[in-house]
Amino acid sequence: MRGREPVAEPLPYAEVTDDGYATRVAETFSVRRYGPAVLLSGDCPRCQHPITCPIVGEVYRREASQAPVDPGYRTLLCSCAADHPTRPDGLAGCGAYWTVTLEVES
Amino acid sequence: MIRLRPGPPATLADLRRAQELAALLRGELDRVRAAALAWRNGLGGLLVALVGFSLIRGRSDVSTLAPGWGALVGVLLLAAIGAGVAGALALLRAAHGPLSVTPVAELPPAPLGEHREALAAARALRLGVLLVLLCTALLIAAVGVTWYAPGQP
Repeated sequence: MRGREPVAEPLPYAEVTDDGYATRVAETFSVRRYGPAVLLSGDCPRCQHPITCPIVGEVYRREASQAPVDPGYRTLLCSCAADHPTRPDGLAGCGAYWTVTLEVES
Repeated sequence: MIRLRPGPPATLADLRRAQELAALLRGELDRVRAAALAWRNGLGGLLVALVGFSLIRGRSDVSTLAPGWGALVGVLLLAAIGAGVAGALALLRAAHGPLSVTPVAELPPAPLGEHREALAAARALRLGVLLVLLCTALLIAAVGVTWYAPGQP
């Protein structure tokens, strides 16, 4: 466990992760496929607010693309709309992040 | 069916990459639209310059060409018009969105709806640029044939 914080309201923004986050998300999040994209939905394992996490395979950017590096997993972060004190401008969520892998089963 | 499994321990680099991707997704559609507008204006200017150039130089009457050459110019111009119109429509599609309406039942959730439209707009932009460049090449070929093909005997 790294950087775990006590659950209190309102939870301040903190970029923290925890081995339990990924486990809880894997057990509780719903997975829906929309064409080539996937949408994960559930409650943030840190702040408990509802979040949706889009998983996409490509994105448009103006700069020339660099050589793709696929780490084999996806990093998700809390993107809830709730107010979390000390959150930097331009960011969303409570700061929690974790990784998951998506396995396609036939 | 897709199954979620816990991944490896996340690092700060993973977080930064995820934040960067989230920011890219938030402004994706606006970036595609802005790029499409810039390409539309640039390619429009290119075509205007090309047409202006062709009006002030060389032979301009295809009826003075040798048999067969006039028909070739006609085919080239017809193809150029077709490519130009299709390219313009594709660029407008990329810059301003589709003309069709979407059934409510098919609406994806907000973050994916904009992403899907951004990818469609980017595809339309690439197609539009290629078609307008093809139109330009066909126009140049038509003008070149008009100028340099043998005349009536």
